[in-house]
Amino acid sequence: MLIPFEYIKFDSIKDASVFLKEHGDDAHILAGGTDVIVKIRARKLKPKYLVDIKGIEGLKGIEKDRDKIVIGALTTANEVAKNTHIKEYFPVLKDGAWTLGDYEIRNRATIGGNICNGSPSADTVIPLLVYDAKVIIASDEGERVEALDKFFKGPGKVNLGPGEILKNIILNIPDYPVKGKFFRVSRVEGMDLASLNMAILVANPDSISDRKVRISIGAVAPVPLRVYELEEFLSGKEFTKEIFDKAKEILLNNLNPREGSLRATPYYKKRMAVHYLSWLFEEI
Amino acid sequence: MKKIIKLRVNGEDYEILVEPYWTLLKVLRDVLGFTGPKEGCGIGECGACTVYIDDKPVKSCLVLGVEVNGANITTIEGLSQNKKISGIQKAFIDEGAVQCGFCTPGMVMAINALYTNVSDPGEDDIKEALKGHLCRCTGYETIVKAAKRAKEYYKR
Ligand SMILES: Cc1cc2nc3c(=O)[nH]c(=O)nc-3n(C[C@H](O)[C@H](O)[C@H](O)COP(=O)(O)OP(=O)(O)OC[C@H]3O[C@@H](n4cnc5c(N)ncnc54)[C@H](O)[C@@H]3O)c2cc1C
Ligand code: FES
Ligand code: FES
Repeated sequence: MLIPFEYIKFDSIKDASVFLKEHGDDAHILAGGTDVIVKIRARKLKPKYLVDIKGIEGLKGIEKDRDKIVIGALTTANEVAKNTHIKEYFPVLKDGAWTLGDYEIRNRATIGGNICNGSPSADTVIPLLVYDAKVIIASDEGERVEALDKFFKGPGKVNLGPGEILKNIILNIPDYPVKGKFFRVSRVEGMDLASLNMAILVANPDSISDRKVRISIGAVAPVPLRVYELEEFLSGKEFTKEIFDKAKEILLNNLNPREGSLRATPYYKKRMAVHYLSWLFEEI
Repeated sequence: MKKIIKLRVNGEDYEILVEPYWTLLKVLRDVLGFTGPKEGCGIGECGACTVYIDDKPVKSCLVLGVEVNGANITTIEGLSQNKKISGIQKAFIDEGAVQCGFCTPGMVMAINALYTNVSDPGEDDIKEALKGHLCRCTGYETIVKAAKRAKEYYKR
């Protein structure tokens, strides 16, 4: 049984935003509900009002706008994984979205919910980070744009003010060759949250001097992590054994997995991250 | 405060009063009497509560009744027609893929959804479709066999 709450559905950002502001912590946004309902059931969340945003136009679907792809926050993980633009331009995101939960969960789980839930291992967030995604945040007062990487403040904490709603995710279509991969390990082959997930993207993989590398890792820090120090070190380098040894050292210095995780020990997570990093040196 | 919702379940229209905190699973079982979908875990992990909303399979324990106002719901009861069970259900019986039967409605709904998306699913597709479905009895092997066997009935 769920503890009682009231339910209210809006069809505009303005109305939802005004209501959210008026009711502060008593009101909580509901998208697909796959995190919210679980938390209510576990009594971790006790909203007085659940504010359903699924009636709001302009938050759904994936559009190509010249050199950009705009993803509505309410787009489900299955819709992301099956979208032709995402498959063509952002395959690492396609793979991340497809590993989220199972087919039934993905029919409800939204990409906006995955981001706003603030989990350090969110399976769409790790790929979005290597694509340098931006988010558009809206309220009754207007809109602001933020780099996704600046959106996370701690486990379950994101950079949303009172009455603010995540509206869109913006991805720039790369106008240079890229090669990338999504990696994930969990305790069981069936449905399970990631013990560790990681995305690697290499721009201009065939030209050593123009190479740029981006790396993000989940479940190794309080927020989804971009490893900028390692990215800088690897960019423009030939991927040799010596460089790998140094890269490994930089990677490990940047990881801070917590003790006592139910899913994997810090030792295991570090070993897996190094193993996934080796893909760069074997496949590029 | 209770709200009126309209929904269609297995082809029939209903207009009912529901509390906002009742899950779709509860509404189907306790208000409308569709006891095919089962509550195993209540947190999206086991798949026993799987139903379709507008033909898409979902875990009904994670959906609120008020959210499906205006929607078209299909439960396991809706898979049989004129009191005749579907090919997938028949394949489950043929392969002995049912022991206590608690997981079965969810398993069948998942496999049926797979066949509507993929005409000739392989073993990997079947396992992917059953990723979020737990069975305490069969050890899954007979369920995977039944899912493959269902192909025969679908071709006809
Ligand atoms: C069985 C199960 C398996 C799962 N497996 C995975 C997995 O493998 N990988 C993974 O990453 N996650 C997993 N999850 C978690 C969850 O499904 C995802 O995080 C999902 O994307 C959340 O989206 P939602 O639409 O359901 O969010 P909701 O539950 O509706 O919302 C999540 C949070 O975000 C807020 N929110 C939602 N949308 C917005 C918005 N547009 N603007 C502002 N705030 C918003 C809500 O207020 C809430 O705090 C799993 C969950 C379950 C139950
Ligand atoms: S009862 Fe819904 S998934 Fe277990
Ligand atoms: S047959 Fe008993 S749980 Fe699957």
